Amino acid sequence: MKPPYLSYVSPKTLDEAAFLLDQDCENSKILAGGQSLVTMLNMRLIHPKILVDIKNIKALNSINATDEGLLIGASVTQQELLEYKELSIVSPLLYKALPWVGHYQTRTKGTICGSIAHADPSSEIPLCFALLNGKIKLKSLKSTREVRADEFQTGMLSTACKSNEIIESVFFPHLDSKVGIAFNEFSFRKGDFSLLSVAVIYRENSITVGITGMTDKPDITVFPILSDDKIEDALNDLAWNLKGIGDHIASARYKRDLLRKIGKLTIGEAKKCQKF
Amino acid sequence: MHASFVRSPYSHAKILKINISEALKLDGVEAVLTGEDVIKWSEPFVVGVKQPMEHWCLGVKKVRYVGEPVAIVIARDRYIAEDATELVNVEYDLLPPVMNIESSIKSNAPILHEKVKSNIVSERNFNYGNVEKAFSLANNIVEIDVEYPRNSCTPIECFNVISEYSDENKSYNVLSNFQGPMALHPVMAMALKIPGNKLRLRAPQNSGGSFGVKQAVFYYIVSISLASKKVGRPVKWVEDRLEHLIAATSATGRKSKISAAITKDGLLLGLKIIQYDDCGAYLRAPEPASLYRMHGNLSGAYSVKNISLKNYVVLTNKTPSGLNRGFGGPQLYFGLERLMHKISKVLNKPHLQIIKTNLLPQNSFPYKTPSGGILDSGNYQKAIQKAEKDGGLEELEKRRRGKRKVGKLYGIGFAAVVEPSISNMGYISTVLSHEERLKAGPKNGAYACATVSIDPLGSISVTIDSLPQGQGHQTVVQQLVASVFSIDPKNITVSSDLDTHKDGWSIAAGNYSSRFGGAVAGTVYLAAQKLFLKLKTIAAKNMNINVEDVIFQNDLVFSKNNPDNKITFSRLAGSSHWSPDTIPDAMAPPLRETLYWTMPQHKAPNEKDEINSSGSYGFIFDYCGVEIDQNTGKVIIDKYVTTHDAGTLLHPEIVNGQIQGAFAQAVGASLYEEFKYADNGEFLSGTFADYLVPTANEIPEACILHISTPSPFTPLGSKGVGEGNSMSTPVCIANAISDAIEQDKITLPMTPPKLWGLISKKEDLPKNLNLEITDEKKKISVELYQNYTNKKFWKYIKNKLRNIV
Amino acid sequence: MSKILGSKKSISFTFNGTKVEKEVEPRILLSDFIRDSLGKTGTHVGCEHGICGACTIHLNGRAVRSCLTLAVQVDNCEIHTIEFISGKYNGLNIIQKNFKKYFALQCGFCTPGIIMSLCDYLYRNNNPSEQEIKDVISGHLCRCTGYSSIIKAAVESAKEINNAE
Repeated sequence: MKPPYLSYVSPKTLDEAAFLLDQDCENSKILAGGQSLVTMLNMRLIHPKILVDIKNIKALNSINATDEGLLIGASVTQQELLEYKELSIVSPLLYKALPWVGHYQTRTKGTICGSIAHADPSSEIPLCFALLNGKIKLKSLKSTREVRADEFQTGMLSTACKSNEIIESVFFPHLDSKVGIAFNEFSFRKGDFSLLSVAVIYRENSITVGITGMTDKPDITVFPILSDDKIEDALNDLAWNLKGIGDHIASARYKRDLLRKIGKLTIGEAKKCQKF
Repeated sequence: MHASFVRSPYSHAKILKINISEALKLDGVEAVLTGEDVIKWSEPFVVGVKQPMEHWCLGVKKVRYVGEPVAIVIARDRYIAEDATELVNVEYDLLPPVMNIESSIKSNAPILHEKVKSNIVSERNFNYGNVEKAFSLANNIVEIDVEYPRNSCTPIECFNVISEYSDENKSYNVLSNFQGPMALHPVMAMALKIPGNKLRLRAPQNSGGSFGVKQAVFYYIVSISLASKKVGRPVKWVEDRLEHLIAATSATGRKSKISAAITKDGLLLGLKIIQYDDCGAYLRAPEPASLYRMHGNLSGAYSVKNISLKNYVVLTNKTPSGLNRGFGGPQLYFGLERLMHKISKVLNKPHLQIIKTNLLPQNSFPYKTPSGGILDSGNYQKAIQKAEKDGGLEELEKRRRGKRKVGKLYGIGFAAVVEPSISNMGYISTVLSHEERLKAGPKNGAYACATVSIDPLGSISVTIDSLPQGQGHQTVVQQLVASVFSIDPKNITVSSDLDTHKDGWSIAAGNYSSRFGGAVAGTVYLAAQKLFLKLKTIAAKNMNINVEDVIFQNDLVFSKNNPDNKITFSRLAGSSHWSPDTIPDAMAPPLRETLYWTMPQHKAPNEKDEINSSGSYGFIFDYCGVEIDQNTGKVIIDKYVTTHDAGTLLHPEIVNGQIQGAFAQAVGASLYEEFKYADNGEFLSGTFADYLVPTANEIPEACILHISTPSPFTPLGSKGVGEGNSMSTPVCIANAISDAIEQDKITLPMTPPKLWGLISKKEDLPKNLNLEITDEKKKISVELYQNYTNKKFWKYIKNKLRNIV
Repeated sequence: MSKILGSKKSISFTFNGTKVEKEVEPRILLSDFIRDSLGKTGTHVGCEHGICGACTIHLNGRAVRSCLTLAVQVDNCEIHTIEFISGKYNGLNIIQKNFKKYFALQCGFCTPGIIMSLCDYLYRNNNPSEQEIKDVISGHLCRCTGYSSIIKAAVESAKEINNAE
């Protein structure tokens, strides 16, 4: 379990990083927290020739709360955000979801953007990103562009980020302070990749439900306000729509049932804390 | 040099060709060891049954499990060695794999070892008492089919081997975190085609856990030794986690069927047991010991007299099995105690009542079991009484009633288990017929060896042969010897490393079968006592008093009658070294005692196939309450009470640490851990994200209770205690789940989806109500919403933050 | 730009309070680097995929997995390992003492990692709840103890650390 041969560069600016990446982008990988990347290197699942470490680019290590939302640089760690002053007010969803991400010892190094870039189908941060329909800023040598969450993750471990692009930052729009927010997930052990995660935004006129674990990426569905038994029907239909992918750990049927049960539980929790 | 293994990605295949030329070209690569070298320089390992199976230290001509090594790259460092393993090109011809017991024993099953002509490599029948008569007299016959999964205690430190070949002496010098039993030393030497004294094996003082698992490193000691011979230099190999999970070892999987002949009160008249053990692709020593370690205590804690047993050893295309905490116990008791639970359900009587009806009576010890075990001591009734009272059983039953009243799934499980320790090394030969045993010569016993010596400054050194890997043997021995000599424990050092060229050892040496408390500590005690008497005699002569009048106290030695006639302990020790003429005549080498100890109760299996498979037998009575989360199927252990009788406790905190530790591993085995394979042979538990070891969040604290009926057979009256919960806890939890969901077919690990499969009702069909807001509407509504709210929200945030700053 | 694949890099960092300059191949894991090049073997390696936690060290004061960090990444950083904890407190610190008191270790292989996590977390957080402490410990696998003694030692340490502050 040792990484294969590779070269390592550690640019000081984003432009330099984009330049370095452009040299041989097909054989290069951006290294941020490395909590997934180095695991894959150790297992020799990937053989990049060059790692471009963005940790020394000072500009990427900032968290900015703007009028519209929360702008998080590419090298901000999950724990840094979790400890960000008043995160519970600025972004209650992230505040509730982040403790579910890995463990303390991986959050101290794993980054917010790295998790979105890795696009594991069961990850919590991509779910929040999709649920809030945030935006991601991608930088290449010649251009900068923004991609919205619903167009970013294209499937399991795959995104719209091109091989010559670096994630510069991610933007999570604010929500009204009156909305109800809840996050739940189920895994065999706390801290594992989840079998199913559910995040809910309960608004005045709608309920937005985000789910991971059913398909190859987060699934976002918006319901109107429904009565309790209608919510059960709605979740049942949703479970059938998404179907779920069965594997040796759990059947698709089991995942559908989790969705029905945990979905209901989470919507209930979100409803309780909404203030309309 | 550093080694890295090339391993088979297939579970069953012929090796057509191994091309190493690309690997050899890589800078830093020294050599690649393959089957050709192995055939030239070694022999297949000896096998415990008389069958023409060849188990070489690398896959030769064929591979039989995913992860089986086929070549070793030897390079300047591990990184380069791993680079080169990617360049070794092995061509395979795939064969159909056999992935479970059922398919392995079918007549048309693919055969793992062609020369054996069957995947059943051993089959034995045993009859004790008169089973047929018992069944004819029964009011009722209750049967249960159970399976126990393959799993492992996975120590956090993996295997390590450093071997150095000496061409001059044709010998190997090995340092490895091997845990014993040293009965495997001859197995390794024979495989290396050398006399025993050409294999110097050293095991270090500290090792990062084992739980039986590090027995299996012996397999790699041979191949890494050959690697050293190949390059003529020392070779080091550190097993990584992926290698460990895929190929180190596993507990046997077992499929059993037990039938009980019972009276209307649930008294057991007879048992018919059929067991199939899944030993994986090779019968690796000491297997099939899993199937026989419990032979003497087949009837558990119960007084049943008539037992028939059919044992089958089955091979499948999986990692060879080996030692793992509990070794045979979890498998046996899972059947027996599930059966007792089922009897209670069939008779509609409380489970605990069925247990009590069948328990061995209080004054029946030492008790000879039908299969030849001699249960040394116990008071099972007293232990159960203590558990009921101090553990709060009544309260728990009340809790169950309350939970059930509000519609929760809540169950209570019980398990009563006899915990054997100090293996009689002859039990493994029970797998052979009496005639075969006569031919091979009797095998029995379990010598423990300890040395106690005092140096000229009066500090004491103790050497033990138990190769501890975290159980605190050094601490216990230190305290024990300090109490014998009445000196400060700080003046005592304990060496628990082992060097086959310098230390006293026998085949039984090592860290297994919970032999420390009964055998090793006892042997240390006897050696210390012997040395103490010697020292007392020397002191008496020095001080010119009677031996009986010599008192040792707080590092001082003085006369009982005249405390002023005294000498310090260190002075006495020094004089014994410096002035031999002060030592009484005929007293050989003064201040060193090496003592070997074994038990007269350890006899070889007899013509009736009776075997006292262990030296001492403790008792455990467990019960627990579990609740099933009706949203997810997750089992929540609400309360767990475990009551032990391990004879004399040598160190209560260490004992409780062993119990909680075994309990945690057993919770893992019950709810999380399994070496899983797909039907096509693919291994599905290859990382710690797939093989789920419980964390601090999954393990409750067990309520631990003790009673003590000292063993009359061990020097200190103590018995083994470290493996008991590996045996009792899985079935106790299974019984509680069975009680909660009122179902019989409980298989482990009971993961949430598996349990959900047992309790879920018919799935609701979709109603297709189209309640969602469609995509277009959604986008608009979300965007509008965000624009609408953001400005207001930001004001709120700013105010909020201002207040804080 | 990337010269020869895998060519060595020069890095300088503070290791347990001492400035160190070393040449290192970019692919070398920090865990291997600490053990093999710096010769400090208190940092243990148990899984090399970030789950068991045995290799946990402090990187700029934060508990991280050294098996998921490349040695080259610690250029200009501060590294602390278990050897520093023992050295700094001239023997055992509060957490280590409580581990001893509560028999919170058996084989000791996972222990340095857990101590490093707790040394970061407990000194950073006032009055953490038992559940929060459990969550931190759940980033480590221990096979011997069954965790309850570790949790007790950590809870007791948290109290003592708070009282001392």
